[in-house]
Amino acid sequence: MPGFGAEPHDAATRLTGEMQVPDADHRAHDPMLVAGLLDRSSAESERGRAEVLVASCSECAALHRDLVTLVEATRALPAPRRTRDFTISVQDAARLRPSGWRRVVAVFGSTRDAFSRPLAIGLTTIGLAGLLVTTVPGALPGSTSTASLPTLAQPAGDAGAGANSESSGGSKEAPGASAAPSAPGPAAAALTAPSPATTDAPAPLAPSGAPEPSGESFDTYLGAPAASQGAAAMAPASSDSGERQGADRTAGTSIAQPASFDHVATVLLAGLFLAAGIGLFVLRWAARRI
Amino acid sequence: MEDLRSTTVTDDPVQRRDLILLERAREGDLGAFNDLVSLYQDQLFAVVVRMVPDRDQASDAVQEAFFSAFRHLDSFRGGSVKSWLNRICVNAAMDTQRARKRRPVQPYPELEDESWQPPAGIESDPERIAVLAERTRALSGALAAITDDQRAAIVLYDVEGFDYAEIADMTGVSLGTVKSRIHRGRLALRGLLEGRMDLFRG
Repeated sequence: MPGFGAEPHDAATRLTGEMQVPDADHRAHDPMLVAGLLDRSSAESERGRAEVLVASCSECAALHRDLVTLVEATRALPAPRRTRDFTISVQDAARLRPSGWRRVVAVFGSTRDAFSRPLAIGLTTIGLAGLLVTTVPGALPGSTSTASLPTLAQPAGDAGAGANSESSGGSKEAPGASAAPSAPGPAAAALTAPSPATTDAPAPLAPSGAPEPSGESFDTYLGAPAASQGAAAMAPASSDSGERQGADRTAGTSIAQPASFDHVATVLLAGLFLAAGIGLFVLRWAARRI
Repeated sequence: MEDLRSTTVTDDPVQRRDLILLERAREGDLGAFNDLVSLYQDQLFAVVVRMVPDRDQASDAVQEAFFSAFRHLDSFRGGSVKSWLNRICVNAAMDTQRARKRRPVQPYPELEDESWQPPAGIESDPERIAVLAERTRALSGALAAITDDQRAAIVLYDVEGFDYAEIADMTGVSLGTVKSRIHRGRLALRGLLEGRMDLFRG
C-alpha cells in the first residue's frame, strides 16, 4: 500500500509526468489560486493547481471553506429596500430633454453622429501641420518655405548687413553733404531698382559703381525694413531724391507685400482650421455632458 | 432613428421587451422609459446600495443614473438594456464613492440603529433573527472596509452574477484586473472576518 502522497503506479507505467505535490509549507501557497477556485470561469490549469492545494493543504482547504461561506453570505445579504420611486416625472423629463441650443449641441454627442470626430481630427491635423510649416521653417524638410528660405534669407542677410553698414556710414555723411557720394548699399539700391523711372534717371545716390541689386531681393519681405532703413538714412539728401524715395517706397511695399500677405494668410488659415478642429472636439465633449 | 429591433437580433424575450421599451422611449414615450425604471429599479438599487454604504447616497446615485440614462438614450448601442443600465448605475455609484471620500459619512447608519432589523423571513426564531442581524452587521462592516473597487467587483460578480467581461465593460478595466479585484476582495473579507467565521457557519 503506497503511503500518502506517493504515486499509485511507478513512473514507467504512468502516461503523464510526476504528479505535482505542492510544498508542505502553507506560506508558500498562493491564496489567490484558492480564491479563484470559486469562480465560474477560471482556467483549467489554475483550477487544477488550486484543487491540488485544497486537497493537500489543510490551511488552504480551510481558506477555501471560509471563502465559500463568505460568498454565500454575501449573496444572501439583505439589501436595504429602496425608499423612493425612481420613475421620472413629466417635469423632470422636460427638464432633462435637451432643448434649444442644447438640442443642437446634443447632436454631436449622439451615436448617430459619425462625421464630427473625423472632421475634428482632420481640421486639427491640417491646422497643426499648416502652423508647423509656416511658423517653423525647418520643421519639414523639403517644404515650400524651407526650400525657399535659404535663397530668401541669403540676400536678405546680405542686404540687411549691407544696409546696416552702409546706412551707418550714410548717417555719418548725410548731415554734412547733401549729395554725398556715398554708396547707398544694396538695400537702398534695391529700393530704386524696380522703378524704370529711377533706373533711367541719373540717380545721385546710386552711383554707377554701386552694386546693382537683383530683382529677387524684392521678394524678401525681410529686405523691406532694411530698404526703408536705408531710405530713412538718405532722407535728407535732396527733395528730388525724397520724392523719388516716396514713390520707390510705395513701389517697394506694393511689391514686398504679397509675399508677407501670403504668409500671414496661411498662418491665419491654419490657425482657423486648428481652432475649428479644437472647437469641434470641445463641442463633442460638451454634448456628452449636457 | 436607428431601429434597435432590426439591428439587435435576440431570441431572449426579456431583452426583446427591453429593446422595444427603449426604442419607444427614444421616440419620446416617457411611459416606456418609466416601465424600464420600474422593471430594474430594485435590482439597480440593490447593486448600488452594496457599493455605496449609505442608503441616501445610494438612492441619489440611482436617481442620477436614471436621469443620465434618460438624457443619453441615444448613446445606447444595442446589446443588453440591463447591462447598459447597470453600467450607468455602476458609474454613478463610483462617482458617489469618489465624492464620499471627500465627505466621509457613517457607513450603513441603519446598522448602528438598534431598532433596525433585517427583513423577517419564514423563521421568526428570535435567536436566529439575532444571529442573522449580527451576521449582516459583521459582513456589511467588512464589505464597507475593503476598497471600493474590490467591493464593486465582488457585488457585481458574486451577488449580481455578471461575468468578467461584463464587469470589465462596466468598470472600464481589463479582465485580469477584474479577476484580481474579486480574488483580493474575497481574501480581504476573510482576513477581516477571520475571528468571526463561526457566525457564518451553521
